[in-house]
Amino acid sequence: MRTLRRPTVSLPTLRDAAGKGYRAAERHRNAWEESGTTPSSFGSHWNEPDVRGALYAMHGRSCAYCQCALPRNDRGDVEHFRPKAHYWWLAYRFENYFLSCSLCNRILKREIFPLVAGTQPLTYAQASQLATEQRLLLDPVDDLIAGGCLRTLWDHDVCKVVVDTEDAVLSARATETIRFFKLNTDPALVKERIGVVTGALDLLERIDNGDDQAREEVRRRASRFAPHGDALRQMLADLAPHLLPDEEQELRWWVDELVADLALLDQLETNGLLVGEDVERQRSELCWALHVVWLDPPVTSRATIESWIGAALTNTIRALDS
Amino acid sequence: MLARNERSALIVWDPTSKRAHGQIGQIRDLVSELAGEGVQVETMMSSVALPQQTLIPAIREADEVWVAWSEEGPLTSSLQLGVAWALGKPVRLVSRFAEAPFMRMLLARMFEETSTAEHGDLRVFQIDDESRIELGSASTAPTGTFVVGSRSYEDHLSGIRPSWRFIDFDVENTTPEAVQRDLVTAFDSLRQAERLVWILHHAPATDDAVIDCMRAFVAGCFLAVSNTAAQVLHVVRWSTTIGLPELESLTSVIDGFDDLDTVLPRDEHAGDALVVESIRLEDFKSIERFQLDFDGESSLTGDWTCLAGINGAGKSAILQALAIGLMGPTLGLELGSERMRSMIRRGDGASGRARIEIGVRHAGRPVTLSVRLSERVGIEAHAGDGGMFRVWDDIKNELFVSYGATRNLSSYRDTRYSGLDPLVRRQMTMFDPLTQIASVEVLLDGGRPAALGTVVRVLEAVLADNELALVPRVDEGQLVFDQDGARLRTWELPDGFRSAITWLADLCVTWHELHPELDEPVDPATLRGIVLLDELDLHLHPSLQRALVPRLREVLPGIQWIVTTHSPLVLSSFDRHELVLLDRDVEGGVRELDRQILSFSTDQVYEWLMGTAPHSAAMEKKLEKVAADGDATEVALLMYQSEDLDEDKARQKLAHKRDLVKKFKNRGVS
Repeated sequence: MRTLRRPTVSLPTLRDAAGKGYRAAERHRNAWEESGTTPSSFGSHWNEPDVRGALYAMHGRSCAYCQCALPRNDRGDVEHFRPKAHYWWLAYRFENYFLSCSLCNRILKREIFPLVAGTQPLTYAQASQLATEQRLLLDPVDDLIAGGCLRTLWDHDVCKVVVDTEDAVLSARATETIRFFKLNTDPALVKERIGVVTGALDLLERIDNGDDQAREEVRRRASRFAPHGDALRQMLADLAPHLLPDEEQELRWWVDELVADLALLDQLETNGLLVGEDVERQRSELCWALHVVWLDPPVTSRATIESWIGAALTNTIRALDS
Repeated sequence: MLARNERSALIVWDPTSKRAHGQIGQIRDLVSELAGEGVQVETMMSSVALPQQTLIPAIREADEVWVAWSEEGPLTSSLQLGVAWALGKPVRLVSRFAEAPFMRMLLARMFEETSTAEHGDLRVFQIDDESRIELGSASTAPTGTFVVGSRSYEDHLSGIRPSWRFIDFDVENTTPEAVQRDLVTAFDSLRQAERLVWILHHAPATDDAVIDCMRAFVAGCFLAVSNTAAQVLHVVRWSTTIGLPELESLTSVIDGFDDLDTVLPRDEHAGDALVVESIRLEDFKSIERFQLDFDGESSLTGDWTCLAGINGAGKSAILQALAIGLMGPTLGLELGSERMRSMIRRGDGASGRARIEIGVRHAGRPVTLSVRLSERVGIEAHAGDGGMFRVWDDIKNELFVSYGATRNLSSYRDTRYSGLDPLVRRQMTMFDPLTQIASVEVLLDGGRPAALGTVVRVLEAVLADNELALVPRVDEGQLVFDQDGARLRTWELPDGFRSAITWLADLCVTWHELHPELDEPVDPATLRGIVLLDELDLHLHPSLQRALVPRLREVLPGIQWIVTTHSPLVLSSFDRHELVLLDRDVEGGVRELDRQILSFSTDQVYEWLMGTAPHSAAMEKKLEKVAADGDATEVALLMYQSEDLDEDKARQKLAHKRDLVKKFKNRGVS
């Protein structure tokens, strides 16, 4: 798990009177107010391109919880931090969404949201008290994670994740989060993390032998948008702090990757290798991701981002929500 | 024994009607009470499906006859009524209130006056004497064969037996006068009949069924007034699958009809196989609401639907609902009303009734089959369209088979369900996990060479180049498998092959049971039908898991397959339009697939589609120890091993990593 910054955006699906998510939320609220009934099923409008795009902009291509790489054909699930089954009024709130792998979402988390023993989940009437709810999972946005709660021991044989805080509340959350998401006990995850760390060590060895390309590569892999980037950032901080990329550099790499994906999509379509709705959906998601980065950049300015992506694409993404 | 001068009342009832069992005691009490002192009350079972030799003398002996009416078995009751009425006995019908509406309709159509009396929750109907019609008397010696049955069979029968004469009723007749005119005409003919073929239609409780009951009534009258022993009522159960042992016993009863199976038309709509197009469920088992159209356009050959999803998503329930809906209420009841009740969803917001609606294409027309499961009656037809009863009739002649998750074959015989209708037996493994498949006897004892020949053709295609070198063939009338010189019977096959081979063989044997005229093995591509298969991957050898679906697409392209599976290897054999991913979190219960998974690796399928971790729990246990501060060396070594790294190389790699860590920690990286 790593710290995430949630962009300040409002997305058409969740905001507009005609937006599917907005309408569903309104229907649910009305049903509650009229007859006290809570919804039993939810349309998956969180998969609309604007919502997914905004999550890409925020996450890169790694799972919010386990940091595993989201392969291209597992685009990641839009995950409700507070499960919609109970917190139904948060089903269509961007603040409640993360992008996670299907394992974390569907097998581990499901409709579970652990709380301190003896406390009850908040009800709709108590919705304003969310900030004080005694949850037991770390919130990647609200809790400072890397350097504050969790630490990946890159030098450990199986690169264990350990609790790294004195704060009693955060420590309890960190402990539960490690257990809950099997950060140290899911074999596939541990294997992937070991692979990323040993791969980076190999790159450091190449740098040591005078290979400058390896320098660039290890820096890219240590980006916070890259899978297990935090483990590598910790490694670089310990061994070669001068190699740590700054935030603007990280954002640039991520934006470049999104732009390259768009170009690849165009190329595949031109050559007739991809057709149909999937292409449009993927293109739309990528454009929305760029739109959100541009709208509320975590570092630097809109003008800089426009200069990165060029005038044509700037026009496209600016026009998305006008 | 009756004492001299003592009157007798005979209650006749249908033992195949499950409800009659429950009320016969009550009816007996009522009859005893109404008949008064000194009347001996007897009961007698009879059914259209049973020989009638005992019924007629018993009724002849009785002074009054009470027909215990059941809406479930109106043909039997009509036949009993016909016999009693033709013999001039005072006849009354008695039934529960809830059972009576169809009887009321029938009586109103046939007789001008009936009187009704209520006794508790029973209702008694009596045909008034003035309402009786005179039967004509035979003017000539009996001759010829008459057929009582729907005109729709006349074309076919007249081609084969031009001398046969047809007797039927005008379905438009709704007034008692017109119906009685028809009845008199019918009796005039029947007086001259030497023998009678009655084409028995399964009669569900609809208005159309009134005509069926009138035919049964006439058949009963014919029985009663036949005055020579040579005259025999031939009951041909039209809608029962031809070629079963049942037919053989029937044929032996019917002298002179040894070529009966050529008399019966095979299939009114040959070539137009029944196809399932949609299903809608409410409160069925754990499913609150579910809807699915089987209309996905696939890029692959064949008609396949594969239901996927985590355990508990309702895959098996959907197959069971399909089986019940396609069998219909009468046969569904053979599964037991308790079983039906147990399938009603309980809990929050449950309506207390389950609904199954299945859209099918039958003889080129769309028909909605609709049944309801309820506490009161278990299962009943409910609010579908009129054509559904015809579908439930005709499906008995179709290849429709279900294979539940525990289908299998061993060398023992399971006879618990041998009394059920063949169509029900063919779906039984879907409902009773300990059942053997329907054709078990053929697979154990051998069967028709033509059927086994077809089995071999299918198995040859499916088993081509199999790893165990199994070669199917027929040896002395039995299905056997050669394997490196050894000869295996079906139940001796390796586990990974036995299950699939068993149900495939059953499928082919069933086809031949339905088509006894086939003397030679057939091209499997000519098979048409519906197969419901739970857990296609069950017990399946991994090599078969990859190959089975693609091979079945080729060898049995005429089957509509509706299957479930857990196997990623099987799942990635499907086009996304064939896959139905059940997900309770999604409105409508089905997650839309926005990509093809034909190229997915098994890991990707596991995680993306099934939501299951693609690794063993053993490794997880070891990791838990390390997480709790155990020594990491052993686990690290396991982690480093892969397709590319054997144990020695993994050890070297771990050592190298430790060296690098130590080196860089000492002096950093430039």
